[in-house]
Amino acid sequence: MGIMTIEEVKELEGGLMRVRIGPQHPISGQGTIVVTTDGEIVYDVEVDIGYSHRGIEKILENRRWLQGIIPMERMVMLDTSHVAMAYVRAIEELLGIEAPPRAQYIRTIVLEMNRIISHTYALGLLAESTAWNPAVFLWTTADREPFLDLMEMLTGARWSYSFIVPGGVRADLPHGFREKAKEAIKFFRDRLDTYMDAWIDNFLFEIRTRKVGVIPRDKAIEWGAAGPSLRASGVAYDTRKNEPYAAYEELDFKIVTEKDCDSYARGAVRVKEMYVSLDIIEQALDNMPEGPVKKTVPQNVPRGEVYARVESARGELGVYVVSDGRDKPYRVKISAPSFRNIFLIEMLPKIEEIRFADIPPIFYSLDPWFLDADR
Amino acid sequence: MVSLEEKLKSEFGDAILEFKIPKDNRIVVKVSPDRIVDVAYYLKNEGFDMPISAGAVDYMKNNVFEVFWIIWSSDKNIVLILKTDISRENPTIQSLVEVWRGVQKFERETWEMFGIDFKGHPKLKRLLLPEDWDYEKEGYPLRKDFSLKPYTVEK
Amino acid sequence: MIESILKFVEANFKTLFMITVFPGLAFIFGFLIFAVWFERKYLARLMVRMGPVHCGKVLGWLQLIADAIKLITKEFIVPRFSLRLLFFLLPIILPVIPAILVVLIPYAKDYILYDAGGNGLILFLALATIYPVLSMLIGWVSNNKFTIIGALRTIYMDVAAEIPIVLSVLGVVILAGTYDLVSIVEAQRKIWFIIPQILGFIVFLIGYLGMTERIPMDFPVAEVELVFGVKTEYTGPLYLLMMEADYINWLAWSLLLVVLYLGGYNGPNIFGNETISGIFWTLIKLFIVMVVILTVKISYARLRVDQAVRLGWRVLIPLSFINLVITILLKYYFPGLWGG
Repeated sequence: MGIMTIEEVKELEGGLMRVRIGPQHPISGQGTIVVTTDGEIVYDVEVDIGYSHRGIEKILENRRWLQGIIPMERMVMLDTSHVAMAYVRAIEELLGIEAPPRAQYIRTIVLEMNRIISHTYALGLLAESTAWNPAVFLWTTADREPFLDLMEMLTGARWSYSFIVPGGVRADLPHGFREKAKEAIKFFRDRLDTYMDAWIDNFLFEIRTRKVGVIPRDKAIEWGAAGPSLRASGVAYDTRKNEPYAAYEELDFKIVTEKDCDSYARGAVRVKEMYVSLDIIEQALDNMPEGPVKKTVPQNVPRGEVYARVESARGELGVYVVSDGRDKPYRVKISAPSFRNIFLIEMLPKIEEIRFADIPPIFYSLDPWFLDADR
Repeated sequence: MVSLEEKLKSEFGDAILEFKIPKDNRIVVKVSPDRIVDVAYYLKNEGFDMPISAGAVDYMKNNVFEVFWIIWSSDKNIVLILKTDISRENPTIQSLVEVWRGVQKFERETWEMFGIDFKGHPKLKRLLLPEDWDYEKEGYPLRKDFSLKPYTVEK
Repeated sequence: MIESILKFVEANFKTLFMITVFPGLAFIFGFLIFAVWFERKYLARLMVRMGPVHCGKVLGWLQLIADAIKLITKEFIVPRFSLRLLFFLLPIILPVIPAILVVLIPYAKDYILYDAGGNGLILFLALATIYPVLSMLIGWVSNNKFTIIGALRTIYMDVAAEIPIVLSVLGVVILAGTYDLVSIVEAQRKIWFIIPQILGFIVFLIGYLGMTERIPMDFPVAEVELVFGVKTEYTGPLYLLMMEADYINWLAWSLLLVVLYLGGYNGPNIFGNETISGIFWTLIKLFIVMVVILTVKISYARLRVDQAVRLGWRVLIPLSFINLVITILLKYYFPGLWGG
C-alpha cells in the first residue's frame, strides 16, 4: 500500500498499521494513544503516559505538612481543592482532630464549585471529541466564569487556592458572597437546561456515543474504574456517601448512576452530577453554622499510616500517608482517579468491536486528565 | 469483621502476621510474602473485588520494602489494605494481576520507581520515566537513597 | 493591431466581462474573501467569540488577505517520501474544477457563460465528481498514515453521497423535462421545486453536505481523529490553494442547490433590469443557503463514516426512489404547473 518509509510505520502482518495519536495531535492531550488498526477497526490500544511526570510523591517527602498542599494542588489543575482535601483529611485523621463545623461547610462549597468547574471543561472536551467544532467547548468554558469569579472572591485565585488547610479553611466568606453565589447558581441552572436540550439530546451526539465503549458492570469493578466512569456502569460508589467528609453527612443529595455503561451514559452522569452539585451548594449556603473557621494544629504529626479518600470530579482520589512523627511525611502515595480510568480503554478492544473514529469519544468520556495520571 | 479475622487465621495460620481494624470500614492485613497470592484469592472470594491502588513504602532502617495493595469490597463497603514485607537487597514478589486485573498499572509503576520485580506481570515496561532512564547511574527514584541533589539548582 | 484588439473586445464584451468579472475571476476571489470572513465572524458570534477584528479596522474583513500573504510567504515543504510531483501538482489542479462549475450556472435569464448545448446539469455533475477523487489522491500521495485513512474515508463518503444526489436530481429533471439549467430555472416560475420535491431536497441536502465536506459529513478532514485528514502534510501556498478549492466547491454546489430547488434567479423585478434583478436574487438566495449551512455546522457533531454509508444506502436511496414515484405522478396529473 504505497511506498515504504523509514518513519515509525510498523506494518504488521495482515496490513495493520500502528498509528500514534501522539502528544502532537489535536485530541490527545499530553499523552500518546498507540492504536493498531487496519484503517477502521481497532485491534489494540496502548496508552502511554509520563509526559508531565513531576514526581510529586518524592517532592512531598521534603516538604512540611502545610507546605505540601501546594505541590498537591498543582497535581491536577482543574479541581485542585479536592486533592488538597484528600491530603488534609489524611493529616487530620493522623492528628485526630476535626475542623470546626463552619469550616466544613465552606469546604463543601469550595469542593462542589470545583466539581462544576471541572465537569464543564471535561464535557466540553467530550463534545469536541465528537468533532463538534469548538462550539460546545467554548460555551462550557464561558459558563464557568461565574464560578471562577466566586472562587477569586473567596480565595484570591482562580485555579489553585491553597485554601483548605489542616484545621479548617484559611478565611471566612466575604461580604456579598452569598448573593453572588445564588445568582451564579440560577444562571448555571438555566445553562444546564440549555445543554440538555441542545447537546445531550442532540441526535448526532447520541449516534456517536450511544453503545460506544460499553464497559459492563463486572468488568468495571474488576479493572478498577473510578468516578463517573464507574457510576455510569451502574455501581453506586461515591465517597461522599460511602465515607462522608466535610459537611456531606448533613446534606441531602443522591448518587447519580446510569445503567447503560456506554460513553453517552458517562457524559450524562456528569451533567446530572452538576445539577446535584448546585443543590448541595445551595443547601450549604442556607444552613451554614456560625463559628470559627480555623484551628491551630501542631507542626509534627504523630506516627501512623492512614488511607484517606475524597470524591474528586474524576473519581475517587486516595492518599496513603505514612508518618513517622516528624514535621514531614515519610511516604505519600497518591492514587489518582485518571490513572485508573485512562487504562480502561486498553481493555476495550478485547471485549467489543471498536472503530478508529470511536477512540476520541470513548477516551474523552472516561475524562482522562494526563496531569492527574502522571502526578 | 471478627469473623473475617478468624477465617483468615484459621485458613492461613501464621502467614497472617497482623490484622488491625483502625477505623469503621478499614482493615489492615499483613501477610508473609510466600502466601500472598492465596490470601488474595481468598479475599476476592470474600467479596473484595475492586482494586483501588497498589504501591510500596521504603523502610531503609529495617532494610525492607513494604508492598501494599488497597482493595474495596462493593457489597460490604470496606477498604482493605493488604501488606507484605520483602527484603531490600533482592526485591521480588508475586504479582497479583491474575487476581485483580486493575492492579496491573500500579505494579508497573512500583517496579519502575522502586525496582521491585513482580513475577508474573505481563508487561513491566517504563510508564512514567523516560525509556532511556539509566538505572545504574541514576537509581530508583522513590527509594530513600535516591538523592534529589543533582536535580536541584544551587542558588 | 490595437484596433483589431479593440474591435475584438467590443464584439465579445459580454463574454469577456463574464470571464473576468462576474461570474469569473473577480467574483470568485471576492466571494472567497467574503465567505471566509463571513464564516469566521458568524461562527465566532455563535461561539461567544468575536472573530477577526484586527485587520481591516472594526470588522476585520482584510483578515483573509493577511492570511493569504502569510501563507504565500511560508516555506514550501514537500515530504521526502511522498510522490513529489503529484504532491505539488494536485493542489494546483484542485481549485480549477469547482471554478469550471461556477461558470455553468445561470445567474439571470440571458446571463450564463456556457450552457453546454442544453446539457448543463449533466456536465456539472460529471465534473463535480472529480473533486472527491482528487481529494483521495491527495491523501494517497502524502504517504502518511493519517492521510491514507482520510483518503479511504473520502471514498466511503463519495459512495454514500453521490448516488443519492444523482437520484434526487432526476426528480427535478423529470419535472422540468430537460437537462438545461436555464430551462430548469424557467420551469420554476410558478412554484419553486423545493415544495413538490421536498423529499428529493432532503436527500440532495445531505448529499450536498457530503460533497462539500461540511459537518456533519466532513470526512476528508476529520480534524479530531486524523490530524487534518487528507490535507495534513500541506503547508504554505499549497494549503492556500486547497482552502480556496474547498470554498469554491462550496460556492458551486450552493449555486446548484439554488438553481435546482430554490428557483434560481426567479424573483420580482425590483431593479427594472431583468438581468440585474436575476443576479441579485441568485446572490440573495446563495447567502441564505450559506447562513443555514453554517448554522448546521455549529449545531451538530460529525457522523462516523460507516454510519454515513449506512445512511446513504438504507435511507437516502429509498427516499429518492419514493421521490421519483411522487414526481412522476405529479408530472402526469399537473403538467401545466411546471411552466416554461
